[in-house]
Amino acid sequence: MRCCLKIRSEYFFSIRFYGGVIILLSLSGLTGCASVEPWEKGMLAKPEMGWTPDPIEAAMESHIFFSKEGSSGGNVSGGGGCGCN
Amino acid sequence: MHHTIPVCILILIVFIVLSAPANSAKIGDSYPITLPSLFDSKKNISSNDFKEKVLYVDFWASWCIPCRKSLPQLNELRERLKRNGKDFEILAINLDSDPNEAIAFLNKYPVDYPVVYDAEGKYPKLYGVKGMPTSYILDLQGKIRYVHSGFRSSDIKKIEALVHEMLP
Repeated sequence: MRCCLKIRSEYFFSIRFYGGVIILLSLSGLTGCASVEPWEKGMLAKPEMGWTPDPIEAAMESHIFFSKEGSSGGNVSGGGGCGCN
Repeated sequence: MHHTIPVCILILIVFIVLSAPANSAKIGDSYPITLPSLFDSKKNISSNDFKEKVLYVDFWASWCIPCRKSLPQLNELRERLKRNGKDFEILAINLDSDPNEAIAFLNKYPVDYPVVYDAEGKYPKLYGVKGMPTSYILDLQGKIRYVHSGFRSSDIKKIEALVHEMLP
């Protein structure tokens, strides 16, 4: 009996035990993950939710990205990703 | 250490299951729509009301930037086809979280076709909308014949050609 208790207490304080607990807790956290559907992005599409809320600064940055890096769009939810700009 | 690979596989399976693609409408499917009008929540409008017409179902929101182009151009297309005696109608499904934002948008960009409001997002889920705007052209039997994502001004000609193709 003492032997078993010894093994159990050794297991309780082992890295493997805590590793298992961390993995289980992480997996249980996945149940809280929710994807934002395309039609639910109204709040994200507001100008104040953009990387640069100031419209003049945003236009300047967009121009820099377009002229220096050849990329455009995708900085706000309302105009990016639909291939329509 | 020898448990690492099975644990990684298990985690991978969990992620794959969680990221499984949602339902998506296919060509030939039929999903009748019944929703309240955006302007009068007591008045229901159904896609079955337009069964003898080619129906353009347009999912849109006031915050969707291309919708500022698509709604006025679709309205013009509808007028043009109507003048030519074509059985064509547009049913716009608004997906704003606040219907007042949609009403304010329509005051700025008015349209003559029916606009319904889907507060719970039931129909975009059913149709498998993947971006805004997305539209579906339904034939005279109410079956999906064409799916269109996004909007460019040049799309109007393609849509018009498709409608002509679908009408006798």
